[in-house]
Amino acid sequence: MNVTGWEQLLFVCAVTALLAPPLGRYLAATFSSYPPGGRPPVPPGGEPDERAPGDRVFLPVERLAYRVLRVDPRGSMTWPVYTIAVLVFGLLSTLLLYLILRLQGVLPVNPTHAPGMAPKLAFNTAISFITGTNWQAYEGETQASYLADMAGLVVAQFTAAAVGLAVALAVIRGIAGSSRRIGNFWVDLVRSVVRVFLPLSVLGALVMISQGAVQNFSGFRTASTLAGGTQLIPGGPVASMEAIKLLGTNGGSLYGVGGAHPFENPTGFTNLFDLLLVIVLPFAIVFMFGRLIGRRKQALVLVAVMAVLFLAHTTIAMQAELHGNSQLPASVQQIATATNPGGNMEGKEVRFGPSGSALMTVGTMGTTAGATDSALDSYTPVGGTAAFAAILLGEISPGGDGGGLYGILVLALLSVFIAGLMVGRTPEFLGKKIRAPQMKLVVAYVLTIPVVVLIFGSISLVIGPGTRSILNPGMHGLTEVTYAYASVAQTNGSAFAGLSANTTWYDITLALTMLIGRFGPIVLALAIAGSLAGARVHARTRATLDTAGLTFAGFLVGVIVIVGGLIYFPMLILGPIGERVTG
Amino acid sequence: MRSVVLRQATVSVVVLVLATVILGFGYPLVVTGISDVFFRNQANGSLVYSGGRLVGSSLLGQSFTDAKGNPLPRYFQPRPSAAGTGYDASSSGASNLGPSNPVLIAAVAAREKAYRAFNHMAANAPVPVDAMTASGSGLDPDISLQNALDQAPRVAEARHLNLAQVITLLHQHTTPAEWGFLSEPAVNVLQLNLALDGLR
Repeated sequence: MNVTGWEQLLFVCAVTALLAPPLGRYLAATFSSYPPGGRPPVPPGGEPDERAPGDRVFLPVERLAYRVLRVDPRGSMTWPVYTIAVLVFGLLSTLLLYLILRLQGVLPVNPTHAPGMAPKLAFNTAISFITGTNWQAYEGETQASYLADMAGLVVAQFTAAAVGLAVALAVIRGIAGSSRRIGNFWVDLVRSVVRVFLPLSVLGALVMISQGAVQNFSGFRTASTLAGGTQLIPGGPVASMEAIKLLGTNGGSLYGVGGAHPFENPTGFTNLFDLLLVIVLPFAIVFMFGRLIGRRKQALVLVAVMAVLFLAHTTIAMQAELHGNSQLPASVQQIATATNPGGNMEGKEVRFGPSGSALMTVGTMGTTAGATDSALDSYTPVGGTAAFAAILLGEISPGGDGGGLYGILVLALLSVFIAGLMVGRTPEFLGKKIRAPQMKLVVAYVLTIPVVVLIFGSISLVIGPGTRSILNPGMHGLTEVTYAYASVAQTNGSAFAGLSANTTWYDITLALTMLIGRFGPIVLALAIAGSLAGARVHARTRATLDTAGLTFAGFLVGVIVIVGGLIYFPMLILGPIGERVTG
Repeated sequence: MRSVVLRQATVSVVVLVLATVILGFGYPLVVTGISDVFFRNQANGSLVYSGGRLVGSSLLGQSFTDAKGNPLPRYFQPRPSAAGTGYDASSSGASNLGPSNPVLIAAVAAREKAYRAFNHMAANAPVPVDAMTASGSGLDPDISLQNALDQAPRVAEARHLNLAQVITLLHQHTTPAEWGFLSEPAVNVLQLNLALDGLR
């Protein structure tokens, strides 16, 4: 890798290391504080605070919200009720978004004259944004109205992020807490939005606008170009959507090409700022976990595992993209010089160059954002594999808001179980015994996504409606298809975008994949938490496996790689690895 | 069970109404209001006017071709573009061609030939990769410094200018790497061409 690349990576790591711990502390203080009028359902991480930071501003807003919602913030839910709340809210949000997308043509605030979406496209898009996937089968500039962007998609981006964080909080309370009740979904949802996502989004949007991101309601302006032609200059509430797209690890932009668009990501600064908006919060949530359970070392171990995976994906991709496309002739200067950054520049912007592009794009792949600033389909086989691997390993480097945490906790449970088998002891995590009922749920969790991905992916490769959508021939085409299913199943939503995805087959099957990939793991994680909620906490003995040490960190990485790697290895061999070896 | 579902459904509906009003309208409008006061130029797309006429945005690339689509020698040329028929800002997009796709290899070979011929370069002269490839947005406003330097003699000749003068101008419109490492040095094609037109 070149000097610029290392400097960019170091910068991102340093800022994350500087911001994530204090933000985690803020989150812990927020979510362990007394909600208005009562004791919070917190795990034993010390006594809850009477007050949370920012109460003076946020508390009145919260109180008002609970009064309007007629929710008693003291009422803690059992896991089945919490799960029902999540699912019912998801269903009704999807219905509302579907209606907005269908009707956008006749609704106001539509200066670009986007017509109402067709049923299958609206179905796909509604599920895509409610699940936080943000797979975009529609054309951003022309097929979604500003109203649908703001009042439909942005609202979904906020709630999807808040649901992820809420579920993570419930899972923490179940796994570590002493009560059978795991919190109030509505309180978690309101607090996440009011105290985390909304204020940070306003800040993030303003920073991006100051650098050149657009925020207006002008529709298309017509410019007369210097050469005598015309150019339609787009507008839109871009920055406000971009901020929550990134902070909420959603990934969907107002414009089709997302982070590559100069109106959304105008400079090298915004490029890395975007990446930081994505990854700092998921890391902070892990630090929050450590404080909530009163074991900060445990959080550090998980952070270390996530960071190792993040560094692996990004450095490999940056190196590969800097090296360039081996299929191009030597006369095309891909080797960096003082006047030319070189590299594999197909699908990349000059201002980001090969290293900045690969860092931002592949860096967000380990979260469920999948916010790209360059075209993944045109990445080198190795760079593309790095992005693919970040998704296949389960979106835990550092993962989505909340999803990253409960994802890695489930894998940690699997790891203590395997380790327990090796030494012949009943596995324990945070002092609670992990037995058959929990392990059945863990295995179901781990298998849900691969099963849907491999089944739908394989069918798509043998039927006409599946293969007709492929742009690139050969092994690369196979990757386009399998990547699509893996990406949406993990609610990532990035694409090898050569695939023409707005067809009946893909709209429907990808939407189903998103539903299963989002709500399957949520229900299973809550069930695991519910089965552990209120279980006896055993004292640590000398024979207890230490889950807060380096040995366990190494073991966890191994389990992650084996679980993610082995299941998908045949698919990777036929796709990007085959392309690299034969190319 | 049924009452639990109904109860959560009722709350959901109220949450959705509140969220649509506050997050769907309040939030973007507040952001728009603040940016309209402090960052009006940026929020509106960093528009560029010349003689009172809107000619484009400094952040968006545009085509410098004649009516038939041939590149104009007197202008620095941007990168190839996959947005619509080229720099169509209502349809941003990348080629999405895989690295091994024969279509991409053939396109690069054709661009290589055309670039050398257009810029009067030797038959085996190396060519900058950004001039051979389409960007991710199809709207890349920039080219690499090498790409600009390779085009400078042609532009100078077409405009009957001194080459040194063109190169000076070119360096004036080169954005250095932000903070030394956040971005790559880049030449903004629209601003450079505007400055060239302004010389007359």
